[in-house]
Amino acid sequence: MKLTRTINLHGVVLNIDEDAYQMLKDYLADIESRLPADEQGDVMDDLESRIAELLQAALFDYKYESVTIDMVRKVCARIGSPDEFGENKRPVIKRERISRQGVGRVLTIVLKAILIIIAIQLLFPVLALLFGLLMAAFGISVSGLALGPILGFGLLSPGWNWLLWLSVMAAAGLPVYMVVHWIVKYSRERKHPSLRFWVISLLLWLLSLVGLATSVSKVWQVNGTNITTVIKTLENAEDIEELERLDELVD
Amino acid sequence: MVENIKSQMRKGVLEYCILTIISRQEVYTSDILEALRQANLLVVEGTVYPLLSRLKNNGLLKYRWQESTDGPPRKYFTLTEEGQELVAALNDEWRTISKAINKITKS
Repeated sequence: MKLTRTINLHGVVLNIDEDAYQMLKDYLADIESRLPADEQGDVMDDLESRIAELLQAALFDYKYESVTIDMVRKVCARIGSPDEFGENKRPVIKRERISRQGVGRVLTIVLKAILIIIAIQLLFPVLALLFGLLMAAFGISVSGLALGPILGFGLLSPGWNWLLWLSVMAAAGLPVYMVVHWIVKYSRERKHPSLRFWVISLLLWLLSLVGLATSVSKVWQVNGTNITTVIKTLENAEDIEELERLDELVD
Repeated sequence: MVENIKSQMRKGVLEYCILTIISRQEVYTSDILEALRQANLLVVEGTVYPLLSRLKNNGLLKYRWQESTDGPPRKYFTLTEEGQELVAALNDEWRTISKAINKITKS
Protein backbone atom coordinates (compact mmCIF):
# COMPACT_ATOMS: atom_id res chain seq x y z
CA MET A 1 0.00 0.00 0.00
CA LYS A 2 1.34 3.42 -0.96
CA LEU A 3 0.35 6.98 -0.31
CA THR A 4 -0.45 8.91 -3.50
CA ARG A 5 -0.79 12.54 -4.41
CA THR A 6 -2.62 14.34 -7.17
CA ILE A 7 -0.52 16.83 -9.11
CA ASN A 8 -1.13 19.26 -11.92
CA LEU A 9 1.78 19.06 -14.31
CA HIS A 10 1.39 21.74 -16.96
CA GLY A 11 -2.36 21.31 -17.00
CA VAL A 12 -2.31 17.53 -16.81
CA VAL A 13 -3.71 16.05 -13.63
CA LEU A 14 -1.85 12.95 -12.51
CA ASN A 15 -2.00 10.58 -9.57
CA ILE A 16 1.50 9.94 -8.36
CA ASP A 17 3.04 7.84 -5.59
CA GLU A 18 4.50 9.86 -2.73
CA ASP A 19 8.09 8.67 -3.34
CA ALA A 20 7.77 9.29 -7.07
CA TYR A 21 6.40 12.77 -6.38
CA GLN A 22 9.35 13.59 -4.14
CA MET A 23 11.82 12.39 -6.77
CA LEU A 24 10.14 14.40 -9.54
CA LYS A 25 9.90 17.49 -7.37
CA ASP A 26 13.60 17.34 -6.45
CA TYR A 27 14.55 16.72 -10.07
CA LEU A 28 12.62 19.73 -11.37
CA ALA A 29 13.88 21.95 -8.56
CA ASP A 30 17.46 20.91 -9.30
CA ILE A 31 17.05 21.75 -12.99
CA GLU A 32 15.36 25.07 -12.25
CA SER A 33 18.21 26.11 -9.95
CA ARG A 34 20.68 25.63 -12.81
CA LEU A 35 18.85 27.71 -15.42
CA PRO A 36 19.45 31.42 -16.03
CA ALA A 37 16.58 33.55 -14.74
CA ASP A 38 15.41 34.62 -18.22
CA GLU A 39 15.13 31.00 -19.38
CA GLN A 40 13.54 29.45 -16.31
CA GLY A 41 9.90 30.11 -17.22
CA ASP A 42 10.04 28.81 -20.79
CA VAL A 43 12.27 25.83 -20.14
CA MET A 44 10.40 24.67 -17.06
CA ASP A 45 7.09 24.97 -18.94
CA ASP A 46 8.45 22.90 -21.81
CA LEU A 47 9.96 20.34 -19.48
CA GLU A 48 6.83 19.94 -17.40
CA SER A 49 4.78 19.61 -20.54
CA ARG A 50 7.11 16.93 -21.91
CA ILE A 51 7.28 15.05 -18.61
CA ALA A 52 3.48 15.11 -18.35
CA GLU A 53 3.26 13.70 -21.84
CA LEU A 54 5.79 10.93 -21.11
CA LEU A 55 4.14 10.02 -17.79
CA GLN A 56 0.72 9.86 -19.43
CA ALA A 57 2.15 7.52 -22.04
CA ALA A 58 3.79 5.40 -19.33
CA LEU A 59 0.50 5.12 -17.40
CA PHE A 60 -1.21 4.02 -20.59
CA ASP A 61 1.50 1.45 -21.36
CA TYR A 62 1.62 -0.01 -17.84
CA LYS A 63 -2.17 0.19 -17.41
CA TYR A 64 -1.52 1.86 -14.04
CA GLU A 65 -3.58 4.56 -12.38
CA SER A 66 -0.73 6.10 -10.45
CA VAL A 67 2.74 7.21 -11.54
CA THR A 68 5.42 5.06 -9.90
CA ILE A 69 8.98 5.91 -8.95
CA ASP A 70 10.19 3.61 -11.72
CA MET A 71 8.29 5.64 -14.32
CA VAL A 72 9.75 8.88 -12.95
CA ARG A 73 13.24 7.36 -13.00
CA LYS A 74 12.85 6.41 -16.67
CA VAL A 75 11.49 9.82 -17.61
CA CYS A 76 14.35 11.56 -15.79
CA ALA A 77 16.86 9.36 -17.63
CA ARG A 78 15.25 10.30 -20.92
CA ILE A 79 15.25 14.02 -20.20
CA GLY A 80 18.79 13.88 -18.86
CA SER A 81 20.73 14.64 -15.74
CA PRO A 82 20.29 18.12 -14.23
CA ASP A 83 24.00 18.63 -15.05
CA GLU A 84 22.95 18.95 -18.71
CA PHE A 85 21.20 22.20 -17.82
CA GLY A 86 24.22 23.94 -16.39
CA GLU A 87 26.03 24.31 -13.14
CA ASN A 88 24.24 24.16 -9.84
CA LYS A 89 23.82 27.74 -8.66
CA ARG A 90 22.53 26.87 -5.21
CA PRO A 91 24.79 28.50 -2.66
CA VAL A 92 27.14 26.04 -1.03
CA ILE A 93 27.10 26.62 2.68
CA LYS A 94 30.64 26.43 3.91
CA ARG A 95 30.90 25.88 7.59
CA GLU A 96 34.08 27.68 8.38
CA ARG A 97 35.39 27.30 11.86
CA ILE A 98 36.55 30.58 13.26
CA SER A 99 39.63 30.19 15.31
CA ARG A 100 39.00 31.39 18.80
CA GLN A 101 42.02 31.39 21.02
CA GLY A 102 42.80 32.70 24.51
CA VAL A 103 41.04 35.89 25.59
CA GLY A 104 39.14 36.14 22.33
CA ARG A 105 37.60 32.73 22.88
CA VAL A 106 36.50 33.50 26.44
CA LEU A 107 35.09 36.88 25.35
CA THR A 108 33.13 35.24 22.56
CA ILE A 109 31.64 32.68 24.94
CA VAL A 110 30.70 35.35 27.50
CA LEU A 111 29.13 37.60 24.86
CA LYS A 112 27.27 34.67 23.39
CA ALA A 113 25.93 33.69 26.81
CA ILE A 114 24.80 37.28 27.50
CA LEU A 115 23.11 37.49 24.13
CA ILE A 116 21.34 34.18 24.67
CA ILE A 117 20.10 35.26 28.11
CA ILE A 118 18.85 38.61 26.78
CA ALA A 119 17.24 36.94 23.79
CA ILE A 120 15.42 34.42 25.98
CA GLN A 121 14.28 37.11 28.43
CA LEU A 122 12.97 39.36 25.66
CA LEU A 123 11.71 36.68 23.36
CA PHE A 124 9.64 34.74 25.82
CA PRO A 125 6.90 37.31 26.42
CA VAL A 126 6.56 37.75 22.65
CA LEU A 127 6.34 33.99 22.11
CA ALA A 128 3.91 33.69 24.99
CA LEU A 129 1.73 36.40 23.46
CA LEU A 130 1.81 34.70 20.05
CA PHE A 131 0.96 31.38 21.67
CA GLY A 132 -1.99 32.99 23.41
CA LEU A 133 -3.24 34.52 20.16
CA LEU A 134 -2.85 31.19 18.41
CA MET A 135 -4.86 29.47 21.12
CA ALA A 136 -7.55 32.09 20.74
CA ALA A 137 -7.56 31.66 16.98
CA PHE A 138 -8.18 27.96 17.52
CA GLY A 139 -11.20 28.74 19.59
CA ILE A 140 -9.97 28.53 23.18
CA SER A 141 -10.96 32.16 23.47
CA VAL A 142 -10.13 34.22 26.56
CA SER A 143 -8.61 31.37 28.57
CA GLY A 144 -6.37 30.61 25.59
CA LEU A 145 -5.39 34.24 25.29
CA ALA A 146 -4.22 34.33 28.85
CA LEU A 147 -2.70 30.85 29.00
CA GLY A 148 0.44 31.55 26.98
CA PRO A 149 1.71 34.51 28.97
CA ILE A 150 0.78 32.89 32.28
CA LEU A 151 2.99 29.89 31.44
CA GLY A 152 5.89 32.31 31.30
CA PHE A 153 5.77 33.04 35.03
CA GLY A 154 7.15 29.60 35.77
CA LEU A 155 10.09 30.04 33.41
CA LEU A 156 11.09 33.68 33.71
CA SER A 157 13.03 35.39 36.47
CA PRO A 158 10.86 37.68 38.67
CA GLY A 159 12.63 40.82 37.44
CA TRP A 160 11.01 40.37 34.07
CA ASN A 161 7.51 39.64 35.35
CA TRP A 162 6.32 43.12 34.34
CA LEU A 163 6.83 42.14 30.69
CA LEU A 164 4.65 39.09 31.20
CA TRP A 165 1.94 41.09 32.88
CA LEU A 166 2.11 43.44 29.96
CA SER A 167 1.66 40.55 27.56
CA VAL A 168 -1.24 39.20 29.63
CA MET A 169 -2.82 42.62 29.35
CA ALA A 170 -2.28 42.68 25.64
CA ALA A 171 -3.41 39.10 25.18
CA ALA A 172 -6.36 38.98 27.55
CA GLY A 173 -7.24 42.62 27.20
CA LEU A 174 -10.33 43.91 25.50
CA PRO A 175 -8.64 45.40 22.43
CA VAL A 176 -6.91 42.16 21.49
CA TYR A 177 -10.00 40.14 22.23
CA MET A 178 -12.00 42.39 19.93
CA VAL A 179 -9.44 42.13 17.14
CA VAL A 180 -9.18 38.36 17.46
CA HIS A 181 -12.92 38.04 17.52
CA TRP A 182 -13.20 40.27 14.46
CA ILE A 183 -10.69 38.13 12.54
CA VAL A 184 -11.96 34.76 13.73
CA LYS A 185 -15.65 35.52 13.63
CA TYR A 186 -16.82 32.19 14.81
CA SER A 187 -14.61 30.13 17.04
CA ARG A 188 -14.97 26.39 17.56
CA GLU A 189 -17.39 27.17 20.32
CA ARG A 190 -19.74 28.49 17.64
CA LYS A 191 -20.87 31.28 19.91
CA HIS A 192 -21.17 34.99 19.58
CA PRO A 193 -19.30 36.95 22.23
CA SER A 194 -21.38 36.88 25.35
CA LEU A 195 -21.32 39.05 28.43
CA ARG A 196 -19.45 36.25 30.23
CA PHE A 197 -16.47 36.63 27.88
CA TRP A 198 -16.46 40.39 28.17
CA VAL A 199 -16.54 40.23 31.96
CA ILE A 200 -13.79 37.58 32.15
CA SER A 201 -11.71 39.56 29.71
CA LEU A 202 -12.18 42.77 31.68
CA LEU A 203 -11.36 41.06 34.97
CA LEU A 204 -8.20 39.51 33.50
CA TRP A 205 -7.19 42.88 32.16
CA LEU A 206 -7.69 44.54 35.53
CA LEU A 207 -5.82 41.72 37.28
CA SER A 208 -2.97 42.15 34.82
CA LEU A 209 -2.96 45.87 35.45
CA VAL A 210 -2.56 45.26 39.19
CA GLY A 211 0.15 42.66 38.51
CA LEU A 212 1.94 45.05 36.18
CA ALA A 213 1.79 47.88 38.71
CA THR A 214 3.13 45.61 41.46
CA SER A 215 5.95 44.25 39.31
CA VAL A 216 6.98 47.68 38.08
CA SER A 217 6.86 49.15 41.58
CA LYS A 218 9.18 46.35 42.75
CA VAL A 219 11.61 46.94 39.91
CA TRP A 220 11.56 50.74 40.42
CA GLN A 221 11.54 50.32 44.21
CA VAL A 222 8.34 52.28 44.63
CA ASN A 223 7.17 51.63 48.20
CA GLY A 224 5.58 53.54 51.10
CA THR A 225 8.87 54.81 52.57
CA ASN A 226 10.18 56.04 49.26
CA ILE A 227 6.89 57.75 48.41
CA THR A 228 6.85 59.56 51.78
CA THR A 229 10.44 60.68 51.20
CA VAL A 230 9.56 62.01 47.77
CA ILE A 231 6.50 63.86 49.08
CA LYS A 232 8.53 65.39 51.91
CA THR A 233 11.23 66.48 49.49
CA LEU A 234 8.63 68.10 47.29
CA GLU A 235 7.03 69.82 50.28
CA ASN A 236 10.42 71.12 51.36
CA ALA A 237 11.03 72.31 47.86
CA GLU A 238 7.72 74.16 47.93
CA ASP A 239 8.63 75.76 51.32
CA ILE A 240 11.93 76.92 49.97
CA GLU A 241 10.26 78.41 46.91
CA GLU A 242 7.71 80.17 49.18
CA LEU A 243 10.44 81.70 51.32
CA GLU A 244 12.33 82.87 48.26
CA ARG A 245 9.14 84.49 46.96
CA LEU A 246 8.55 86.29 50.33
CA ASP A 247 12.14 87.51 50.32
CA GLU A 248 11.61 88.96 46.86
CA LEU A 249 8.44 90.76 48.07
CA VAL A 250 10.20 92.20 51.12
CA ASP A 251 13.00 93.46 48.89
CA MET B 1 38.08 13.60 -22.42
CA VAL B 2 37.02 11.88 -25.65
CA GLU B 3 33.36 11.87 -24.61
CA ASN B 4 33.58 15.53 -23.66
CA ILE B 5 34.96 16.51 -27.09
CA LYS B 6 32.28 14.43 -28.81
CA SER B 7 29.58 16.02 -26.67
CA GLN B 8 30.88 19.52 -27.40
CA MET B 9 30.89 18.81 -31.17
CA ARG B 10 27.31 17.60 -31.03
CA LYS B 11 26.18 20.55 -28.95
CA GLY B 12 27.90 22.90 -31.38
CA VAL B 13 25.85 21.70 -34.32
CA LEU B 14 22.64 21.14 -32.38
CA GLU B 15 21.44 24.76 -32.69
CA TYR B 16 21.99 24.68 -36.43
CA CYS B 17 20.14 21.37 -36.74
CA ILE B 18 17.19 22.59 -34.67
CA LEU B 19 16.91 25.74 -36.78
CA THR B 20 17.08 23.63 -39.95
CA ILE B 21 14.33 21.28 -38.74
CA ILE B 22 12.08 24.21 -37.86
CA SER B 23 12.83 25.94 -41.17
CA ARG B 24 11.16 23.10 -43.08
CA GLN B 25 7.73 23.45 -41.44
CA GLU B 26 5.91 24.38 -38.27
CA VAL B 27 6.92 21.79 -35.71
CA TYR B 28 6.07 20.62 -32.23
CA THR B 29 8.89 19.96 -29.73
CA SER B 30 8.40 16.21 -29.96
CA ASP B 31 8.88 16.42 -33.75
CA ILE B 32 12.21 18.17 -33.20
CA LEU B 33 13.26 15.54 -30.65
CA GLU B 34 12.25 12.73 -32.96
CA ALA B 35 14.14 14.18 -35.93
CA LEU B 36 17.27 14.61 -33.82
CA ARG B 37 16.94 11.10 -32.40
CA GLN B 38 16.66 9.60 -35.87
CA ALA B 39 19.76 11.52 -36.94
CA ASN B 40 21.52 10.07 -33.88
CA LEU B 41 22.26 13.57 -32.66
CA LEU B 42 20.24 13.45 -29.47
CA VAL B 43 21.62 11.93 -26.31
CA VAL B 44 19.13 13.34 -23.82
CA GLU B 45 16.05 15.45 -24.47
CA GLY B 46 16.88 18.01 -21.82
CA THR B 47 19.56 19.68 -23.91
CA VAL B 48 17.00 20.85 -26.47
CA TYR B 49 14.76 22.91 -24.19
CA PRO B 50 17.31 25.53 -23.09
CA LEU B 51 18.40 25.87 -26.73
CA LEU B 52 14.85 26.48 -27.89
CA SER B 53 14.37 29.06 -25.17
CA ARG B 54 17.62 30.83 -26.09
CA LEU B 55 16.78 30.86 -29.80
CA LYS B 56 13.36 32.27 -29.00
CA ASN B 57 14.80 34.93 -26.68
CA ASN B 58 17.19 35.94 -29.48
CA GLY B 59 14.26 36.51 -31.80
CA LEU B 60 15.07 33.61 -34.14
CA LEU B 61 12.03 31.50 -33.25
CA LYS B 62 8.42 32.12 -32.38
CA TYR B 63 5.73 29.75 -31.23
CA ARG B 64 2.02 29.38 -30.85
CA TRP B 65 0.06 27.21 -28.44
CA GLN B 66 -2.26 24.55 -29.75
CA GLU B 67 -4.63 22.48 -27.64
CA SER B 68 -4.09 18.75 -27.78
CA THR B 69 -6.74 16.09 -27.38
CA ASP B 70 -4.37 13.61 -25.76
CA GLY B 71 -2.13 15.63 -23.49
CA PRO B 72 -1.05 19.09 -22.45
CA PRO B 73 -1.25 22.06 -24.87
CA ARG B 74 1.56 22.00 -27.41
CA LYS B 75 4.01 24.64 -28.55
CA TYR B 76 4.39 24.81 -32.31
CA PHE B 77 7.59 26.53 -33.47
CA THR B 78 8.34 28.50 -36.63
CA LEU B 79 11.31 30.63 -37.66
CA THR B 80 11.13 34.39 -37.60
CA GLU B 81 12.44 36.35 -40.58
CA GLU B 82 15.70 36.82 -38.70
CA GLY B 83 15.83 33.09 -38.04
CA GLN B 84 15.35 32.31 -41.74
CA GLU B 85 18.18 34.64 -42.65
CA LEU B 86 20.40 33.01 -40.05
CA VAL B 87 19.65 29.51 -41.37
CA ALA B 88 20.58 30.62 -44.88
CA ALA B 89 23.85 32.06 -43.58
CA LEU B 90 24.56 28.93 -41.53
CA ASN B 91 23.94 26.70 -44.56
CA ASP B 92 26.66 28.56 -46.42
CA GLU B 93 28.93 28.39 -43.39
CA TRP B 94 28.32 24.68 -42.96
CA ARG B 95 29.23 23.97 -46.57
CA THR B 96 32.48 25.88 -46.10
CA ILE B 97 33.32 24.08 -42.84
CA SER B 98 32.38 20.72 -44.29
CA LYS B 99 34.63 21.24 -47.30
CA ALA B 100 37.47 22.37 -45.04
CA ILE B 101 37.14 19.39 -42.72
CA ASN B 102 36.89 16.96 -45.65
CA LYS B 103 40.01 18.47 -47.09
CA ILE B 104 41.89 18.07 -43.81
CA THR B 105 40.69 14.56 -43.02
CA LYS B 106 41.28 13.25 -46.52
CA SER B 107 44.68 14.78 -47.03
